[in-house]
Formats: sequence, structure tokens, C-alpha cells
Amino acid sequence: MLAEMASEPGPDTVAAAPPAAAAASTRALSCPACGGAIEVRAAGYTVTIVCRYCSSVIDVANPEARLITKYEEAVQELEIPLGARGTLRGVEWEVIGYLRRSEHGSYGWEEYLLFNPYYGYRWVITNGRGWSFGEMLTRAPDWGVGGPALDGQSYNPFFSNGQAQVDYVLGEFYWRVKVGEEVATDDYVRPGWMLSREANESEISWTLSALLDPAEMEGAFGIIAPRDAWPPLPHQPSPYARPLKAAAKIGAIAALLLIVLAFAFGGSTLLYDNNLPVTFDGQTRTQTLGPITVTRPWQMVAIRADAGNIDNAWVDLDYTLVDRATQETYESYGLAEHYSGSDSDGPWEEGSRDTTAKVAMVPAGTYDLVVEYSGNLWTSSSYSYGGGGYGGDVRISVSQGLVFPSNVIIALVLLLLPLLFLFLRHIRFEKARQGESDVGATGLAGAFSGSDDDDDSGTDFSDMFSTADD
Amino acid sequence: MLKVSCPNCGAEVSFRSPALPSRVCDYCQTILVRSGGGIEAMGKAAVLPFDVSPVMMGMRGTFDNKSFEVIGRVRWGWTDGSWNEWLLLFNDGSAAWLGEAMGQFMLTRERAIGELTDPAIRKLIDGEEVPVGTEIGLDGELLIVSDAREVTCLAAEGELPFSAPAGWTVFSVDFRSTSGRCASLQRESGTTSFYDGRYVTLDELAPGGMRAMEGWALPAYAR
Amino acid sequence: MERGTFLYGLWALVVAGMFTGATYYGYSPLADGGRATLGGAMYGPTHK
Repeated sequence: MLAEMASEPGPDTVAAAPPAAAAASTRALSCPACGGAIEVRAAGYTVTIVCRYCSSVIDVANPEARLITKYEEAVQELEIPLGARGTLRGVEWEVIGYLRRSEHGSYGWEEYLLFNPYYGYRWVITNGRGWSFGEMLTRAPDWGVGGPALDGQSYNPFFSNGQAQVDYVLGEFYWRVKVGEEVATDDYVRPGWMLSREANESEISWTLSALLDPAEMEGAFGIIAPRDAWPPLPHQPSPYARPLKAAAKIGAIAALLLIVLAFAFGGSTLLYDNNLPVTFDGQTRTQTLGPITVTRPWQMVAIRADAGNIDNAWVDLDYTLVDRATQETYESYGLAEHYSGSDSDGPWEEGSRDTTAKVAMVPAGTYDLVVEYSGNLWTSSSYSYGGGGYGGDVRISVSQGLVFPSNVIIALVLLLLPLLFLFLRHIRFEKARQGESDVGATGLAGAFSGSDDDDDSGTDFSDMFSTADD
Repeated sequence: MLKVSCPNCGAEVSFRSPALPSRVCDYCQTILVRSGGGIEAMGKAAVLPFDVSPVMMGMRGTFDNKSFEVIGRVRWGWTDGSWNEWLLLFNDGSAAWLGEAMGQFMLTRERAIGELTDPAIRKLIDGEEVPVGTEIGLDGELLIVSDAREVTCLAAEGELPFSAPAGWTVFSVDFRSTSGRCASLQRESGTTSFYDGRYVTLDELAPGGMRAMEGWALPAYAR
Repeated sequence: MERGTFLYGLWALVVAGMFTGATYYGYSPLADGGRATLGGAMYGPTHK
């Protein structure tokens, strides 16, 4: 046993003692089973140490090391070797222990015990998809509505009623760890954090783990950390959540702007309003209406045809706006129609008597509206009014405006499309993340779950629509 | 401050407070107790085993706006481990214990048994067993029994309120709460003591004169 | 601000810009009519 290099024993004084020479930080030991030289790195705290040569378990709770279980096994090579040091979150840590645990043999994960005499113990934990940095708590969480709360943050249940067993052990630990020992586990998460509870007959402990960025872990211990885990880790924050919030704000502002613009410029000015007499004889006639003066540099010109109360007839209208000065033409078309009747299902009617054609990008100028039109009666074998003489007025009104409602819709859709895309990706991420959970999909992912086979305790709207097939 | 010669080896030993009548001679580990007019030798304390505690005799710090110095230590053990209890002497003459286990620290002060009204505590004082998980009320706060076991004094050093010979056995019960508050009860042959306090971090004690260890840089919080 | 959010902001600007431009010119891809010699605007059914 190495002698402790303490300060020189001397008279007690109340004044500050001069700093002592640095004490040794490890205790050397010979493995009682294989004789190999072992170092105890957390002497005074360590209870059990597993020989790194032969895997035998040694009790170091008492000054005389006692062999608990003798093994003669080759020791597993670790990704981070015992004794390795790394700096995480500003503090240097030494790896002193290694555990492999699992849920009764499946879903295994690894835990490394880290130690710094001035900061105590921490853990780095990996399940092969990512690393977390854990600390055992000295306080227990409070219980909120959906789950535990710690320091004002709420956590949601993820794994419940688990049973973790120790499958493999190496290095030193502050309790009497042994292969096969079991604890009941429950895990709760919030983005970036996992709160874990472990209990056996004699005690309960809580550990808070922070999800580590792969770069952090790589920088600390020089390993290659897994990236882009799929499915995501239980406490992995959705990479779409923050951009979605930010983009939604931008989208909302843009949409509001559009709507304000649409209202501001949505008005129209009536330029021409008159009746066009139409005879429903199927003959095409031409009439020139005007003059129509449009004032803005550019505008949309709406040509409205209102065919009164025609029935079982239609009016075909070909419009040509001709600029008097340049003779440029702008063409459009209108169809005013209405049909009605009665059949086995009852009375029916169809068609639009009042129709507006919107002409785009009409420059300022004075125009004539040339209308080539024909009035037609709808004849079918059972409804025949014959030809001739039936006439009516079609009221033609022309106005200038700027805003096409269809533009507003298109713009809003274009604005929302990327948001929708982000939102769907976010849902997909959350569903995958919650796929492993014992509580099934919750929140948004639960709402979009449909009839999946995971345990359903979230708000699954499909329940409202499902028939009796489950 | 009372300075005397150790009756066993003659080295100079001092007693800083009448409330701490016991001390371990630094040279020969004899336990000396002041009583009445003189100093008595009451057995020997075992030599402390090697450990990597950052706390050491003479470490200074502050808690609750009062400064303290570490002047004594008892090391306790049970079947599955051992830990240190450091005695802190504050500048107002009061004392507290800094318990150190698994890298976690608890600072507790002794409290009069008569004040405690919780029935489970009274049962313990009367010598009965209380199962782990039992809830107790202390000043309106809820604590639960986190463990209860026989513990043995392994070693001691410095000045102490009681004599701590090797092999001395005590029944110890620990209490924890959700807020970080903790307490412990120690019972042996008819007398019970109760200690009440909370978990602390070394950081918040602003310690000076911590133990330097080979291969480890002193932490940023060291003064 | 993340890259994705920045790109979306750009996109929102483009859409708003296009809408403003279309409004100024009285243009729409779904207009019923337009300049006769331009191929872009739809004419609607012209059955006679």
C-alpha cells in the first residue's frame, strides 16, 4: 500500500496552513487472483474493483482487498480505455469504470464511470446511437401533471417499468456492483435531457443526463461518436422544431403583409356599365362598347356579364379590348349560362348567369371593347322552345383593379408550402423518436398516428373515425 | 485554546473548543479526552486508510456567511463501503459535520432530540426499527428514510465532540428529501443524536487549502 | 439564425415580391385573358 503523503504533522494552528505537497492520487494493489498490478483511482470511495487483467471481482471496501469472485477471462477491449482522461463541460475526468447493461439481455447500452476528486462522479452513456453525460442527483424531482419536474422543467415519460440488468463490469465502482444485479427503471425526457429513476429494495436514485453533441464527445475522448441517429434518441430534440418556430413567425408576418396589401389594393373602379341586348337565335353578332379609359400604368381589367334570369340558355361572349392609340388587343372570353329542370331525384339547376373575365396586364389607355357574342337556347329532345324571337339584356360592366384573389391564394400557398414540408418532417422525426417509447406516440406525433401498432395513449384522432375493426 | 502534552508520547496537542473535548494525537493516535481538571487517554484511534478526498484537515471555507475550518474527521464503514465525516469549526464557535460519500457532500448540524416530534423519529429514539421509505415530517418538510444500518468507526483524526475509538458501533439512519435537505440519526446504547442539514457542493463552500493531488489540477472554485 | 430559417426568409421575400409585382402589373397566372400576341395568359374555352 502506498503511504499517504500528507502534510507534515505539526502543531495545530488557527491560521491558514501552508499548502501541502501533492498527495498521491492512486492506490496500488495486487489482484488476489492473478497477481496483476491494479490501481485504485478513487480510493476511499471505491467499493468494488474488477481486475483489468483477469476480470476477477475484488472488494476494496476494507483496507485488505478481498477477492469476491475469481474469473479467468480475457478482458473486453473498451472504446474508451480505463484510465483515459477527457475534458467535458470544462472539467477533466478520468474513466474509472465500465458497465454494460440491458433490458434482460436486449436493447443493451454502455456506461462509463468518470471521476474527478474535486467534482465527484459522472457518467457517459451510449446506446450505440449517441452519447449522454449523466450526473446522479442529490434531490428528487417534484411531480407535475404529466410527469416529473426538476428545476422548473417538466419531463415526459418515455420508458416505464424497465428492468436493467448488469451484463458486464470492468474497473471500479462506489457500490457493490455485480453481474446480474437488477434495478427497476423509469426514464423521462425533454428535448436534450433525460431524467432516469433507478430503484432496488434498498434505495432509489435519480440521474439527469444531457445529450452530448458528437463533436463534444469526440473532442473529449478522441473517439468517433455516432451521428444522425435513426431512429432518434429518446431525448433528441427535433432539428425541425426551432426552424419551424422561426419560419412560422416569418411566414405569419409575410402572410399578414400580403393580406394587408390585398385589402389595400383590392378595390376596383367601375369604368363602364351598360346593357347589351341579346337575341337567343344562335347568331353571332358583334358590338363595340366604349370608350373605356384605364388610368393606372398597369392594371387588371374585369369584364362582367350578367345575363339577368336566363334559363336553359347560354350567351357566348368573345371580348377584345383594343387600345385606340396603339391598336394592341387584349382577348378574353365569357360564358353566361343557366339550366334547370326536374328528374327522378327532384329539381335541379346548373350554371352561372353572372360571369366575370379578368384580363391581366392592361396598360393605361383608352380602349374599345369589341364583343362578339351569340345567344343560344339549350334544346334537348324534351325541351324545345324552337327558334326565334326570345331576347334579353346582358349587362356588361367593366372595371379596373389590381388584385386577383387567385394571386392571394397562390401566394399564401407558396408561403405555407415550405412550412408544411418542415412540419411533416418534424412529425416524422417525432414519430420515429417516440417509436421506442413505452408510452407510445404523444402530442403532435400522436395526433398524426393513425392506426399504428404502437401503444396508443395520445390524442389519436383516428379513434373518432375508425369503424369496429379492432 | 488549551495546549497540553500528550500523556502517551509527549507531543503538543491543543483543544480549541470546550464543546469538542476529544482529540486524536497526531503522532501516536491516542484518543485524549479533557474532563474535569485533566486530560485522559481513552484508547487508540486507527490510522486513516488512504483516500482521495479533496477535503483535508485545515481546509477553510464559508457556509451561511460564516467561515469554518476543518479540524476533525471520523471515518465510518459498513459492509458495503465507508465514508468520511469531517468536523467543521465555525468562527462563532459552533460546529457542523461535512459528510462525504460517493463524491457527494452533506452539511449537517446537531439538533436537540427533544425538539423532534415526528412519531417515526420517536420510535427510532426508543430503539425500534423503522423501514426504509418511511416518511417523516421535519419542520413541515417531508423526508424519507433512505437507509438504516449498523456502522462502525474505522478511524479518526483531529478534534472531535466525542471519543471515536476503532470498532465503535452505532446504528445510523439517513433521511433524504426532494429538495436536497437531509438528516441523520445515530443511536447507540441508549443515547441518540440527530443531525439536520442539506446537500452542498464543494463549489458553494468556497474552499481554501484543499488537498492537492498528483495528476489533478485544483478546481476553478478553489480559493 | 439558422441557415434553413434564413432561406425561408428569402423565400418569403421572393413570394411577397412576386405578389407585389403581380399586383402592380395587374398580372395573374390564372387570368382569363391578356394581350393577344402573348402566349402566356389562358384564353378559356373558345368553342363557337
